[in-house]
Amino acid sequence: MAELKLDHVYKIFDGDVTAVSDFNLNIEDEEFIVFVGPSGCGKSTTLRMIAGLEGISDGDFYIDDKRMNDVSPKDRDIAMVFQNYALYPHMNVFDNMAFGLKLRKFPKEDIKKRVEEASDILGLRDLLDRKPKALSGGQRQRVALGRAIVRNPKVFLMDEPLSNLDAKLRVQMRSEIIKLHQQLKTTTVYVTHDQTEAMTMASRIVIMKDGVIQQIGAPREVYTYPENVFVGGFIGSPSMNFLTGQLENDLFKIGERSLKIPEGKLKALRDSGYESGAEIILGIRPEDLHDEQVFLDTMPEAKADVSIDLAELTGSELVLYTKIAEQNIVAIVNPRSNIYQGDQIELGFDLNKAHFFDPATEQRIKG
Amino acid sequence: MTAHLRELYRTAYAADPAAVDDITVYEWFMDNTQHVFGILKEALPEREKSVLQAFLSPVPPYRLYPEEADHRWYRRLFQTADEMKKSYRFVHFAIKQAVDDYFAMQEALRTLSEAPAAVVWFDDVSGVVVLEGEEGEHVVKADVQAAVEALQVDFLIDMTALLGRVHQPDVFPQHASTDERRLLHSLPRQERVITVPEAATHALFQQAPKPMQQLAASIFTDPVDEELKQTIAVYLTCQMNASSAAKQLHVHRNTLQHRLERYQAATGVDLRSFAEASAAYMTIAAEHRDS
Ligand SMILES: Nc1ncnc2c1ncn2[C@@H]1O[C@H](COP(=O)(O)OP(=O)(O)OP(=O)(O)O)[C@@H](O)[C@H]1O
Ligand SMILES: [Mg+2]
Repeated sequence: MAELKLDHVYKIFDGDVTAVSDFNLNIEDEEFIVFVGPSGCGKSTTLRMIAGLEGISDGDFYIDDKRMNDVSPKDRDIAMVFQNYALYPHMNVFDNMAFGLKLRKFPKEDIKKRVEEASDILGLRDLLDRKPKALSGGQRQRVALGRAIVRNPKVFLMDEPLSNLDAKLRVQMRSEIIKLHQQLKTTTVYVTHDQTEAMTMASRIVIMKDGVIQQIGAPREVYTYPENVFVGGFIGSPSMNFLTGQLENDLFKIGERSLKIPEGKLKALRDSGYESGAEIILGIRPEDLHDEQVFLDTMPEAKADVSIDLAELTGSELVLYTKIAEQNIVAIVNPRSNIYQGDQIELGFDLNKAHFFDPATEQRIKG
Repeated sequence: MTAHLRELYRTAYAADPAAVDDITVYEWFMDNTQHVFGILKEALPEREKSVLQAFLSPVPPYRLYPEEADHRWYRRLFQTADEMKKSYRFVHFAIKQAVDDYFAMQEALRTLSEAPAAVVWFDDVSGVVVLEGEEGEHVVKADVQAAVEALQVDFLIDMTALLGRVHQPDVFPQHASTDERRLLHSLPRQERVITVPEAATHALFQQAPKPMQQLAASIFTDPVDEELKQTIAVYLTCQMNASSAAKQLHVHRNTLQHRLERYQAATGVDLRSFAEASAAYMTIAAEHRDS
């Protein structure tokens, strides 16, 4: 059981590469926190500072109110899981799982008990005598998890543990790790650059870019209320649509088209000082664009004629690709809609679910 | 002398590092006959320890070689080579942080092969694992990678390793080791484990004169950003297989294709040319070397 606190933490390499900047985060006991962001944004570096493998250039890091900056990694009571299969090639599964405990001088009976418990949880009981070479990819990854679990540490740190698995196995292991966390409740920090993984696994997501936290929040919260254009675009697949246009009275104008801005949103814009003529960015999710007649009838002032560049039927959904005033739009509609490439259709914008962003700061306008 | 000490310390005296359960609870010393013995730390007050250290050589924990093979290889690497019958292969390694329990670390390192391998330390943060005969022929890079990651996780350290070549018994071990040990330094930052051919390729480039390296950078890397560089590096390490590179980068194939085109447009480099692609790869890798 552990609470983690990062307080104004910085990592500066070689005196000039700032990999992590002013990182502030309180991780509560039993949380499953996911760091997500594009390559090079500082996820691993932050995790390595938590582990103690990387020094903290500035700021403080605490586990349960104890300052950890100068505590060596092995005294932090953490266990790590990496992306490859971190297994000794010639040790069998039992010895692989037992090694970390032997190293820490656990009594033999205790080691046996812990390894057996962990192997039951992970469904490895019948494989304890096997060598890694005789295991499948998923089984190896499970042993790697087992090596961390047996330690029963305060904190699990996982750096892209699933990225070397194929897509199907990744989905399966994802849910296994979630189940595992529900069972063990160990505070976990999990790093990934896969936003789907972040959305499906996290109790809270930390979205990073260029070493700076962009937003911290529960998956639904960051999905529904992205703080800025980057978060809106990064979280969600297909990505949020961004359309640059002008505020004109109660309308959002994109080229020739205009959409009526709902009362509440308009007030927020006005309260934040955006007047007629101001340039703003509209952010709207693909699923908040509609082709159904019912929607078009109820919101007649929030629709636009578009021509479909491409209509992709994926099975469970129909993905439409179109443009307004040279700006790309992706819409997800009911797969039963009869829409094909080249069609002219009316597309309804559910602006109640949309957001406006400032073009200069790219921050969401909250009012 | 040791007989006296044995009498003095009785049960706190250990005559052989290989015979104790926990090597770390002893202080180890070597007498003038090169015999190594230990005395329980808790039976050894600071003053007595200082006295013993003045008369005997303290043996650091990484110098305790519990296996006969360790001694044999220590002599081959630091003293005189004997006649050898089997081929051998080195895995040189370096760790960033010193560890508490060298004995446990050795035990883990020995499992690089089916039969326990010999381990010799150069100092408290580097050493070599020796795989003899068939054991050496069978080991592959992926095994070393898996073991290095396991060691990193167990000991919470950063570790790098170089998988050496198979040497015939007539090759002088000291020379083979010195050459390969040097190559470990050419490891690019994002890699943990490297083989001799890979390391040699990087070393070749790193040892080119500065103006040559700058010229290469101005062609292959300066015109583009980090993201493009990384994309190219991954694409080339994936043997120019777009699907696996896209998968590894977690981007769509079209995005990858688009980035490859952007790279070629910005640099004028033709990635289909083997010579140009390999120079691009080396230049990018050299930028990412640990300083
Ligand atoms: N030892 C180092 N020396 C100098 N710069 C470094 C070092 N390690 C990392 N960096 C730089 O710090 C930044 C953050 O790197 P980090 O590995 O934390 O990114 P990441 O978010 O984990 O990316 P990825 O998704 O590719 O794993 C990068 O620009 C990287 O090049
Ligand atoms: Mg990383």
